[in-house]
Amino acid sequence: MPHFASMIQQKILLRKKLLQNQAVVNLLCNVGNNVEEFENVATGSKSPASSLIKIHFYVPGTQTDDKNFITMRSRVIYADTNVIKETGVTVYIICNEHQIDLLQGSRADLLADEVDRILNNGDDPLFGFGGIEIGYAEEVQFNEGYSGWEIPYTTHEPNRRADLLC
Amino acid sequence: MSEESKKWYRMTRPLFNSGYEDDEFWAFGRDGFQEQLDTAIGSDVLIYDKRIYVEPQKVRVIIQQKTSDVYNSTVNRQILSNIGILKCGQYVKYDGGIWMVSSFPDNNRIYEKAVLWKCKHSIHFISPLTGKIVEYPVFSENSTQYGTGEAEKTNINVGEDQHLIYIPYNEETIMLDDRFRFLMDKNLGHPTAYRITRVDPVSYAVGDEFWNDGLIQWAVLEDQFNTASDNAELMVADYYPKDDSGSEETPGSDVGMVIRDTDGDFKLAIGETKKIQVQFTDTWGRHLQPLSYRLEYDFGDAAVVESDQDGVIVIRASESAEYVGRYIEMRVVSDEYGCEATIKILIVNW
Repeated sequence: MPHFASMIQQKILLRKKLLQNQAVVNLLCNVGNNVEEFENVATGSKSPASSLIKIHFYVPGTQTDDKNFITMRSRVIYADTNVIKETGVTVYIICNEHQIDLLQGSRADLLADEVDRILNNGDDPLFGFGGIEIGYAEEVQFNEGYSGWEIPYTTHEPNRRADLLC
Repeated sequence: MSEESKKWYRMTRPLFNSGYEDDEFWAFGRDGFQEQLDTAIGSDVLIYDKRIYVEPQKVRVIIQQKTSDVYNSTVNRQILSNIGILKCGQYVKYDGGIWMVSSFPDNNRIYEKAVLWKCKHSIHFISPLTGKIVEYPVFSENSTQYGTGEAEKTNINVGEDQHLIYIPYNEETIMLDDRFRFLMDKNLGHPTAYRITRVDPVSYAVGDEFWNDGLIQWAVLEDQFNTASDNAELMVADYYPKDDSGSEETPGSDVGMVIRDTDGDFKLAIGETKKIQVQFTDTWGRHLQPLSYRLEYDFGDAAVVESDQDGVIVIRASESAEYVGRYIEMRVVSDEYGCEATIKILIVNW
């Protein structure tokens, strides 16, 4: 049986990195269509983007205001030993279709790129043993009015019995 | 001289007709209507200008279209009055009930006419202008149509009742925006909460020349009653402030101390810093310099004081997640002025 502490920390770490990233908070909060004219939104835990990055699986309803979100969903992919388990965190980039087209490209694509720079980083992985891997990714349509990316990442984390080995 | 003769003698209008119809119209039209008002078909009503807690105006009017077999028509009336009285958005208290002028009133040069909607319910909320609880009767229509009123979510079903609410436009009601919550129910024990999802101040406006008149239409969606913040007894949503930690001050005899979290939320994320400002004020509220105080705290390993300069204290929380959910407390004491203040901050996650 895998334990979930690692997955709790994965999502909090990712949320922290996203909130510390100027490009990410700018893309989430600015509503114009030109990145060059975006205002620098405050970063950090008090950032206005804080409510737009959710560490649970969330898809906005059709009556939600025009906003963009990054949300997450965890899963245990494989746990064949008591020591190591393979876990996944799927990142959802959910953009309002009224705001998705920017002069520099799709807002969802730009956000996906920033997320990938943070996670798909072999030299200095944010969490896990031996790096974080991206298997595939695809653009999806969420509820009416929202589309974006579904990007699953996998990594290896300690299983419950691994604590006994330390 | 008989009473009839006296009335005839005292008439202000011309005793002799010119023979032209238009002259008759101008001479007798409005007087004729006033005579109608004074008969049994007229009613005394109170007219409130866009809110019911202002002094009303007592007016004689005719209320008509009183009976109907169709429900929607039974909550509508026509009101006839002298010209220049009615405005869209006014409340009319008639026969003990509150009605709302819903249409743009106009006249035929004899009398003024408008449509009234029966206010079916009253909502109460804390005024964003005054901070006091205010009451607004509203007209409402259920816009859920033939839905079940429930939305199926991943794990639970939640209420999804939708209404259209009409409320007079004024400087107070226009401040109520999306996500504003209120209670609306006849079940006072377990009232249903609603939140505004759309504010439409335009569709029921009556033009720039009557900027202060008109109605606001809200689309509202059923929300969950929150026992922690909603007051069912007063029927006011978000009545109780959230139980954040905060600051507490004990003033001296002549000097007070104010301790302020510059973020205003009394929360500190792990690994982040927070600025706390200390100020001294005299009895007139003027800031005093120089600042002379000492700090008392025991954060353990949960946080450290990074700097303390010119009344600005910077605290940095530990990077460790084990302190999440704990409070740290700092006491600022001025021995010189005999005052002190305490601030309590919650360590939170990102």
